[in-house]
Amino acid sequence: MSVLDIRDLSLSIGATPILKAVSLSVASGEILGLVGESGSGKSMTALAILGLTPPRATVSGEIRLNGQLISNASDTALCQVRGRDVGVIFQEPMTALNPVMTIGDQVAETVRLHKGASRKQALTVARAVLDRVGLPAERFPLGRFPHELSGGQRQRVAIAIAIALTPKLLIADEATSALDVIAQAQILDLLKRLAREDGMGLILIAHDLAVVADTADRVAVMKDGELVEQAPAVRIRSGLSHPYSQRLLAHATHIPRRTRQPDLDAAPVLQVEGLVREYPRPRPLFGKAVPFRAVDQVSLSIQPGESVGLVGESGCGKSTLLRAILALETPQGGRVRVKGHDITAARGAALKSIRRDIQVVFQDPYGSFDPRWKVSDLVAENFHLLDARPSPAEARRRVDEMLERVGLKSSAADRYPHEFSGGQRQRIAIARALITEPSILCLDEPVSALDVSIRAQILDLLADLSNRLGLSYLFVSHDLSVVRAVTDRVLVMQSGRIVEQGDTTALFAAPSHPYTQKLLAATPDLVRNSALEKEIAG
Amino acid sequence: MTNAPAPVALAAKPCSRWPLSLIVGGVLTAVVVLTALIAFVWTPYDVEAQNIAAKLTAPSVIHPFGTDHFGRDVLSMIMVGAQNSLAVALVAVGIGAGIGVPLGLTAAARGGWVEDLVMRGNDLIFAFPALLLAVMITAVFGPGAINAIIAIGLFNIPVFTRVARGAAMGLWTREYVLAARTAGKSKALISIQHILPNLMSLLVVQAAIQFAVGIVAEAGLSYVGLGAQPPMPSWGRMLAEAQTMIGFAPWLAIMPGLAIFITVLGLSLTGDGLRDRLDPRVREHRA
Repeated sequence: MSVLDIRDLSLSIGATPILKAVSLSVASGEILGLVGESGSGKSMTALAILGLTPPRATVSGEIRLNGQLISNASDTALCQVRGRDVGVIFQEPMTALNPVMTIGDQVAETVRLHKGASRKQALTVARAVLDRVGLPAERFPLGRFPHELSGGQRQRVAIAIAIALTPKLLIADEATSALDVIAQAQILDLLKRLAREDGMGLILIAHDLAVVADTADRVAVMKDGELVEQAPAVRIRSGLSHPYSQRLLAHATHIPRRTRQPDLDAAPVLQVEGLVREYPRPRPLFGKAVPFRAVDQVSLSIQPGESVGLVGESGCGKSTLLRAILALETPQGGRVRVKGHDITAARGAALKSIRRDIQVVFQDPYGSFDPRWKVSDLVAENFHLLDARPSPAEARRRVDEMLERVGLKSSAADRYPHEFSGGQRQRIAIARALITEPSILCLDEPVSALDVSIRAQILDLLADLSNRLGLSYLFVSHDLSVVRAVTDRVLVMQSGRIVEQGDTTALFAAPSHPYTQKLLAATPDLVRNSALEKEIAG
Repeated sequence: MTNAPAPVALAAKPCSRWPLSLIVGGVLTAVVVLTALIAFVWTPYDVEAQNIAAKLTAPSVIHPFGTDHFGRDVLSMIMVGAQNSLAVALVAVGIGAGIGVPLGLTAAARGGWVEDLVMRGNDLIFAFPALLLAVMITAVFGPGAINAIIAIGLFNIPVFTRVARGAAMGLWTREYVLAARTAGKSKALISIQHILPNLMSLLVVQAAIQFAVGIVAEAGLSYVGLGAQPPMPSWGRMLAEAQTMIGFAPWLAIMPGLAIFITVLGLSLTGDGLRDRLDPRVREHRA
């Protein structure tokens, strides 16, 4: 019997349709993966199930939970449904929990609210539930506070709250997107186990097809508020039928074409030797303060035209290393040479001339630009590095040319960054970085915030620029499938150290360090799995 | 946790509405400023002209706000007093922002001992009772509008330093500031080009609030005789002089009191309204 039945659910805000006649159902114990790009209506569908649609939205259609019609229920009735019959987990584990309540009280709160249990009874239930989600009593007593837990552990607490009353339906809205691969794999396993054990319907909302392919039983693909396809999840690898689904899959597994070979005989463009970056820690009452070593004796080198990936889980020191290489932070030891010039020791005009050769593109396409500056001024900002700055007319001509080179119209120059989409902004960021014609570009998670189709375009652009200009890349990412698609060589970082490095293909095929093996095993990967499946089938 | 904001709803929300507090505050402030400006070219009576025959007349058609014990027209005195109050508060805010903001920006940009020095210096001024220092300054340099301005301005410095430093520190970790640093720009240049414009809205709000505080402070100093000296009319001194006559000529206290009240209310509402309009965090919260 189906736990959830949605018939012709439509929702519009003003004249804008958000959902168009969505019909889907979830059986008990079934995991439905709901995938689509941002703005496709995935989250709005979830909110509609919970009766949490925005105040000015007009909703039509039927939503049945366990055969009972809830789409026109009163808010009081819906309050009973939320938490008791339907549990939800949101994306951001940092904000989903109340920072001033212990984890025990937060889980117990739901139980007390819906069951009218005493505090003691509720805490007993809370203990049992926390045990179930993998937070055992000896390490995670009820009195722990959220700030004492890691992101993955917090997400477990959020899951505990959601399943405390054994709901019939659990909605996980991008529940693992903010976690690194290892925590993500663990949370997905947990969700899968809970759904099976409790016979609970699970809606797994994700933009990542690979996550859904590994976990879900069935997949539903959404586009512009419409459900374009529903199919068994195994079909994600063997072939979905709707053209949009196929496109989504193609984008997710896209490998840009790179024609240029790295020049291995030339002098390296970037050389890092024994780099150390420490942060001071507060001095204990007795004894000396021991600084925290975020980057520990890291050495690496990059050849002209070479693309090098740097991978590792969050907090391993990737971004700190990048900032130290860019001389945005002063290292406590070691050297960074850009085309032979030491950037760590350089000051003033010397530093400026080195900076021309090494530039950066950041992760967040929204935070990378001063909102008050026009695109033309933003892209031209790096002209500050030149000894002879171009005249305004010349600067403008070069900005226009660069914008066209990264696939934008030159008219973009007169607009403000907020007028552009995430992918377009990332193109602007690339244009800004390339205006001084650097030899090496550092990319800090440049495509993590982008939808798969846009991601594929940006990766193509980077490959194209490398082919044409012979650029070298230092590509920092936690997404192994992206790194695999665009790099020649990979460095694996753990706790501030490079633990393994090697040729991308070789390293992915036969990782030797246990940490690399763990990282690879945890990565949901469409390509690897499809290859595996073909092997099994053959 | 069932309270997830709907992204679409946020996007569709009109964000160009003017808050009521800004409209009311703006109108009140405009009235006061206009009054002060008119007083430059016209007042109903000469503020220094004494007419003993018409002393202590209650508000009437001839003297809408009544007259004082010298027979001076209270309305005219309040109009000219508005110039004094506004000028003192404005210049004091200017001093506070002019010195405080660069200090705050420098502290945020440099960090280390520079920051420690600036912030501990701030704490020192904050720790000192404001009125006591004002009394000290005027006691040393003599009473007068200029010294009142200096005293009030001094107390505005740490306020602006703190606001500027706090907001600037948040901005220094933004990626666009990192990008500007990779463009080889100096910290001073980044402070001017990127940091200052992005915290302008905060500073404008703070300036409106400090303006209101300045009006009250000026009135307080004049009340104890340390502000503008006679014959320059001042709201604070008018209140002080009215004290002994409040039993039989209450308008002498009520009128300048009302003037102070309306000015401060107007400026405070303006500050509040500006914050509602300019600070996106408050805007989302209210909606």
